[in-house]
Amino acid sequence: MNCAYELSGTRFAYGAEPVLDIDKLKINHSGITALVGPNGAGKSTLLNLLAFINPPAAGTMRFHEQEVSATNYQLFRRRVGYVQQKPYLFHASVSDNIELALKIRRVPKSERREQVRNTLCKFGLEKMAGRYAQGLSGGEAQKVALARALIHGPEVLIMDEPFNHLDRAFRELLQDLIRDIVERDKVTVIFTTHDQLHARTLADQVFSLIDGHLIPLSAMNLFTGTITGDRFNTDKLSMIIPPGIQTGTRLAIEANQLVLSRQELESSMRNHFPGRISKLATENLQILVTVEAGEVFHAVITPAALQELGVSIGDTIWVSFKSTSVHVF
Amino acid sequence: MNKYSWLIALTLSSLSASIQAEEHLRLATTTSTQDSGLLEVLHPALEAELQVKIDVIAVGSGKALKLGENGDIDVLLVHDPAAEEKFIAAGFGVERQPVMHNDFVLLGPATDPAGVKQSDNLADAMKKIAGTSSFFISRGDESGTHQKELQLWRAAGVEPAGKWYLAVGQGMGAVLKIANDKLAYTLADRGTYLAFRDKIELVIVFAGIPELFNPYHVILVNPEKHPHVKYDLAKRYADFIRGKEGQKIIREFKIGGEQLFYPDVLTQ
Amino acid sequence: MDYFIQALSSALVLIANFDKEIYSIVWTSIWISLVAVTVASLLGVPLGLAVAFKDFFGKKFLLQGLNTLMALPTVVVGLLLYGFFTRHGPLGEWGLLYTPMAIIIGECVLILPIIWNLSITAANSADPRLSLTCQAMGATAWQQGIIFLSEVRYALLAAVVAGFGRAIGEVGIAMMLGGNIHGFTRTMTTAIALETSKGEFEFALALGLLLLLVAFIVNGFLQYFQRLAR
Repeated sequence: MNCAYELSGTRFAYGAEPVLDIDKLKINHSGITALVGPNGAGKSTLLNLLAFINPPAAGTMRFHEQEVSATNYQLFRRRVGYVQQKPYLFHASVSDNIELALKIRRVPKSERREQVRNTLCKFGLEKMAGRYAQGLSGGEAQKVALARALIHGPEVLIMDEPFNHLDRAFRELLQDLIRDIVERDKVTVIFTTHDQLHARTLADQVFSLIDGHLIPLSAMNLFTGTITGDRFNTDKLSMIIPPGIQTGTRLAIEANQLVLSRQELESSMRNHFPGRISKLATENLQILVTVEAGEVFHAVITPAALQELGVSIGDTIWVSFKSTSVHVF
Repeated sequence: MNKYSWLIALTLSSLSASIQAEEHLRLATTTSTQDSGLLEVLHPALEAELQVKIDVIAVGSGKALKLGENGDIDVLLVHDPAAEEKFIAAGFGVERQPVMHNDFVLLGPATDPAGVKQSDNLADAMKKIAGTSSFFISRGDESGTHQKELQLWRAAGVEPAGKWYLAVGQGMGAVLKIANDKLAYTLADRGTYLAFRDKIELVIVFAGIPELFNPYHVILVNPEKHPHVKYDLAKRYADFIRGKEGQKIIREFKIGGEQLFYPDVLTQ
Repeated sequence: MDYFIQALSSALVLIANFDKEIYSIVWTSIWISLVAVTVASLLGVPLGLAVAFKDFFGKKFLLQGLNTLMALPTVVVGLLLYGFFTRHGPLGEWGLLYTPMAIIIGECVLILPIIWNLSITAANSADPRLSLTCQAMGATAWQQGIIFLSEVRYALLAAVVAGFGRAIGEVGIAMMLGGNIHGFTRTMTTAIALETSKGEFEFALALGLLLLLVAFIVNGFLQYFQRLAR
């Protein structure tokens, strides 16, 4: 698959404080990539790197096979659309806000007018074209910012926490929009969220950021502990890990690597823990099962699988996974 | 007596003065009497004798007469004969009596660019000022001096208007400073001129003729128009400044060795 | 009270009849203040932006100084400049004293700290997200500057209007440096001071009402800009 971004050895620091330390990161072209992590994990910093706002302190960056260097940042920036967490709109009308993205790129006036009209139409903003941007609601402002970021046809759309503070209806509208632009315009979409499940269900690629470190999977199941021999011990649970791992204080397991069963399974999977279902939730046609088995595990299964299991909240259930499916770092 | 005794005496006397329920007399007068410093010599003696505190409101003669009309003051000491006569005729004032006179002087830069010094008469002098590019600074505040100046222009048949004629609408002192800075001609009363002489470089270019006399009259505000005015006190004020002691103070008041005002009641 | 009402009605008649004298004084006031505010803005706004964006030694001291100077007494400005402009002063040869130019310079000195200081505030009032947004949109440094100015335009206009209001309403400088010369340096405020002492209360009142009107309009603009700047 084509790569939109290739980062290697990328470091970034604010003063002496290292914020980002990424060995390798590849982001696929024309797909949806989610960056997940708690606040302060370095998500926004990484987005600023990907949007070419800040250059990294060390490491190399390639964008569509092109080496990115400090001298041509401006040009790379213009190939990206960036929607900030709480987007800033200019003190002007909605249509002027959108048009400014074209003015910056020195698009001739006649073309600008045409494109603005089309974009307003596409985002259902025709009625508020003349309204003053400062008077818009959060959702409306988000929409205008998105229109402003997309009007010039960028190759990449970057969004910082786009689903925060949105009501349900608008959330779904935005999801449809994202899927639509990926499918039709072959845009690469990168967004951050702290909702692991949401990231998993919407994105093709999920990366988790923890303390500036990147792990190539969602961190829905993330535990801290210490290694003793071939075991990783948290306060409450002891898990078997592949031999040879000597360092690391964190262990992560992808949610779809967890196997749920009513009885203890006879299989090659070396970790088996009995637990109790504490929560069942539906998201984008998948079921999130929360199991308390000493530690709390999150598994994602299909509705059909849930039917087959025939369990509900409060029931006993076994959680099994291979020692090789864990990621220790 | 030690060296502080005078201070103690002064403190005591001012204390005793403030303890007595003092009466106030409001006098409206022209800026020229105030600026010359005459009142500062005249009034302490008078205040001591009459046991009264005199509040001086120094404004242009026009404004002073207006204050009298409104009954805002008790007594006037002004120098605008024409307006004064109207004031009396309208019944606003009574007992208008001469006190003293000084005279007006035409001032100009020492270089005298208009050649006023060589004038044959006053009208000629005024015409010369108007006929050159030199500035003339006018009080323009309807004061007695302003009225006098307008009368001089009329007598000379000159229309005081144009770029050379600057009406500044301020007191005599301010006008002298402006004239000094702009190297301009102006008309001033001798008293104020003498008081300012050390601070400015203007010199007298024409003076000393009867047409430039400047008589001061005392007028009491008519108690029939304004019953609240202190008529009796005002009358005693008038009597004092027209009396032997007042006239003596006026005659002996000098700036830089020059007499400023000439008493009109006692000439000795 | 009758006296006041009578004076008020004659004042209104003067205004309504477009008394030539009155309106020429109003115009003198306005053009002098306009020139002063233009010059002070051309200096104060760039200085304000520069100070807002640059960190340098003594910045805190400068800000404190500007804050103090915002309350600069007009008579102090008048006094100092009088010393410069008077015939024996350092700038005496220029013959500025008692000319409109002297008032303009004085008012500039008076309102420069106001416009300077309020421009700093205006620049600091810009949203911290603004710069990131401009960069992310790929704006050049020049374009970012233009967008920034356009974003804080109302706050800057408010600074300029505040300066104008101070200039047109002050009397100390206009009197001391202008000399209240009829048809030349006579402004609304000096004329009001003069006409009252001349006993022309109605005339002064008419000017006072017009000054109030100007102040009212200026204040209206100020509040309008301040509201838009939010």
